[in-house]
Amino acid sequence: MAINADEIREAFMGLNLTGDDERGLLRAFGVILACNSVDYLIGREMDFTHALGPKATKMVDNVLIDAAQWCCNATFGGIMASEEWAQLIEPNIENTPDRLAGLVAVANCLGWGKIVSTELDEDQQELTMRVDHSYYVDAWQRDDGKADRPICFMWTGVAAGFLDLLYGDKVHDFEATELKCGAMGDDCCEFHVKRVTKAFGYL
Amino acid sequence: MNTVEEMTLAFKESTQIFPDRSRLMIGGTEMAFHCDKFNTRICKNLEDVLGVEEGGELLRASAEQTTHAFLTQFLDDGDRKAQFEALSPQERLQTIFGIFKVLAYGALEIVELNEEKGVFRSASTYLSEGWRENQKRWRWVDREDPACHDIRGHLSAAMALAFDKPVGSYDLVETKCRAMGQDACEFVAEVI
Repeated sequence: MAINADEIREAFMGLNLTGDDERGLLRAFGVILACNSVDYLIGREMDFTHALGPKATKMVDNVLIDAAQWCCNATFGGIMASEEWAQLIEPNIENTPDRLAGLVAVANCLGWGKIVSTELDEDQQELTMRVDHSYYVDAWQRDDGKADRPICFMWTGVAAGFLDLLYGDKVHDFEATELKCGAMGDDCCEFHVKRVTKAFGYL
Repeated sequence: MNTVEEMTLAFKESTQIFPDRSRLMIGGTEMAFHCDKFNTRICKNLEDVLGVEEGGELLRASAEQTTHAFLTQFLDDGDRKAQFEALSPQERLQTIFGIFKVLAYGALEIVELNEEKGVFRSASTYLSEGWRENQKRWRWVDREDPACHDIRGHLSAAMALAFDKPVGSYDLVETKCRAMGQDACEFVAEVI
């Protein structure tokens, strides 16, 4: 049975995803969610990039990707262990591509932009993932013009995190590279994920 | 339902979802969900690289500017502008804190408030709540400094709107923080 992304989106948005009346917190899927303006989410990453300047580009990129990859492991790991997943998605999963489709359907509910395609090579354990309307692109280009390198750091960490969850034993078993980026003028953002050949480091 | 409750509800009900782009808008501003894992990791990673003071100030300043912008976008819209302007500073803050609850930043209460100074308390900011859980999960060392940098920025923006001052008019210090093991987070705003 195929994963029904529309049904998942409807169910997700029907969860009343706001803070509770007493504590103002939103606990769902085993994590604490909050909703921030895209301008804040991207602005803080741009400010961090500017604070360290062009000589620290690689470290800045890896620091931001690292945060997202850990997040992906905990958040989507929590989602896959949640009651909501068990009821709505697990019954439709027959294989690893189905499980990936379930993760993609949930990621597409969060306001980050849309994963429009995934190509999973199960033998090589590699993934190519394409995103349209990445929430980075407009915000980055508005404030900083056309990007000189791929800048969808959160997506890069999440793409790698998906394969950490599907095939890995721990965070950073896989690494992702953003091959195309809308902020550089490409037609979409495209990520390639493969198993790491060296230990993760900021530099 | 009073004006404060009406405006909070209006914010909540302004949610628009765009399935074709997988984007969402609340109060006329693009928004996105992230979890405590991501936000505490961003906080920790920036602090690790820049130092606690500089990393915290970067997050505070970014939150102040962007929160002021999205609140203004919503509160200045149509008839709402006159409604909000008719509220007292205390009621304006209660409205904004209601909006913060909708966004799941945690519950904030006013301890003391005048144009020069505000004192606020929270037993449940989402970042301190997340930090406590993630500290155990990922074996982070105990914090010696407060963690709720973004809440400081949100509060700076809120104070400016409550007292009709330009963004950047209030300095915000977190004097207690649950992420340091204290019973609540406490924030002091003072006019610059």
